[in-house]
Amino acid sequence: MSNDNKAGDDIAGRDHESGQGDTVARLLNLAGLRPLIAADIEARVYDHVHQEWRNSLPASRTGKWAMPLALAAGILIAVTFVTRLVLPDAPLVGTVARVNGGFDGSAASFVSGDAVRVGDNLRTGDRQLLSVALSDGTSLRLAANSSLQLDERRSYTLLTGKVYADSGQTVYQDSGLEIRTGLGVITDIGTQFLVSFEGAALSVAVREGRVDVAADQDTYTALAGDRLMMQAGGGVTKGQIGATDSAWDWTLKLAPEFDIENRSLLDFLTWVSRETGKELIFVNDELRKAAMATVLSGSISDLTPVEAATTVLTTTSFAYEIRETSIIIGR
Amino acid sequence: MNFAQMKEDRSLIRRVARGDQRAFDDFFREYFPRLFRFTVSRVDNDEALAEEIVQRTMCIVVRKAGTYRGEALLFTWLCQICRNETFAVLKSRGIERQRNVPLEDNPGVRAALESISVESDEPESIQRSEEIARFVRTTLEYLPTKYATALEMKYIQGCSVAEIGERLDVGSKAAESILSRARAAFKESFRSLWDFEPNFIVD
Repeated sequence: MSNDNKAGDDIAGRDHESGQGDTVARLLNLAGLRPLIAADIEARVYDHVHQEWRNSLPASRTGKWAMPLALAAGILIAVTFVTRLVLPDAPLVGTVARVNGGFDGSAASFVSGDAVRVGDNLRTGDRQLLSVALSDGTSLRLAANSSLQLDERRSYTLLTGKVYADSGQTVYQDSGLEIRTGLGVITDIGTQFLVSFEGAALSVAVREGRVDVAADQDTYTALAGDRLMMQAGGGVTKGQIGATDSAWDWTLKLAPEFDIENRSLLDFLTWVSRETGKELIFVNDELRKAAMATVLSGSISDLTPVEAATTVLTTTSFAYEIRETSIIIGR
Repeated sequence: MNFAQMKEDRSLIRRVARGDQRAFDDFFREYFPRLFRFTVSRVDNDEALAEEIVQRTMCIVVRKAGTYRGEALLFTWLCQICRNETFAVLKSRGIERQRNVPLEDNPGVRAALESISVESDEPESIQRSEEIARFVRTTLEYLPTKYATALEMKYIQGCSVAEIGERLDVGSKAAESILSRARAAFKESFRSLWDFEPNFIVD
């Protein structure tokens, strides 16, 4: 046994609080090992319970096509629906990651884990939010009252509403996502960005990286902190938007779950920074290395990224301050 | 009250209710073995009977997943439903309930347990030891699987922290942490479940 193992076993064997390690050991040895369960019993019960569970779930999505009728200025987009022929081998785009809020009469309903394929229409109701994990790891998030048509594997049409995309990396790629709208086509080059389209107005806000917007036979580039606004009939303006602007807040409700078990504090804080837009600052490099070496355990389910950061950091010896635009880690 | 576990339980069951396949698998993998062992000890080790009861219980749970309010541990909720189903199944088969109520269900357990010494060869003492052993096994079922596994590996099988870490797919440091928390959780659960102090054993 190595010295490390022995030391570890010594620590695990002692009960610092009450010296009752022996008592626990005696109780456990008295009981002996718990019996194993036959695999066939488990398999049978699994099949029955799984079937019962599937039968108890709400009806699955209808998967209908949405075809826009008009995209002119000042006219509310009207959509009609026709039944889609189910194509069992339509290419997989990704899977539904989270669905927030209830169903308020929307035609389509998704549940977490559902596959989404080319040809599907993602539509959210009044109080509903939806996120999809694309096959390449990109997180696609749909706000309430939004409709996104998945035309191809990486080319979609935003019929109305808002869609947020996070490719999870800052390295520029050759082929990004393409979001089409009635007023322009947005191409992602490895970013976090938000597209809002409400018939007569298109807005593209970039949190990180870069997007290109093709509109009116011209191409515009938006970098981190830029917001492009276009009106039907012409006119493009560029404004600024901070990474922690309230316009991004709804996307937090769809943040992909981060399992902290065995992850480093640095990884976790990087995730918090990415989801909140707050800049992660270490007072010195030693602290960053210490955060890299700190391994976490537990769960942050149901906590917002900021709540999770507070909860986790209070269990460590790091001093911290969470400000409006930054998270500062000190000694 | 283990608020952290209750929060995890609420999250898991919520995802099951929403149709999350992975959540269903996690739920089944975590709770089926514990519930089965909990049940089989209550039906004279009749595995076929335990299988029927557990299947009925888990079917009820997945149907009613949306009603779980998280005011008690998920396993506690499962056990309550399981007790009802056990009674219903036994009644439907015309099987009388055991005359001896399991010790852990007896409110007078504390006084009885405090009087014994596990080192004694007296028949009464041996019986009490067996009952305590069942206590212990039941307590283990109330713990998350990784805690129970870590405790068994450490104290019964004599495994090292490294071996425990390998089995749980974590590093040695994390394994130490799990063991430490598992011991604390075991003691607290043992006490709170049976209103009992583990230092009854006289050294």
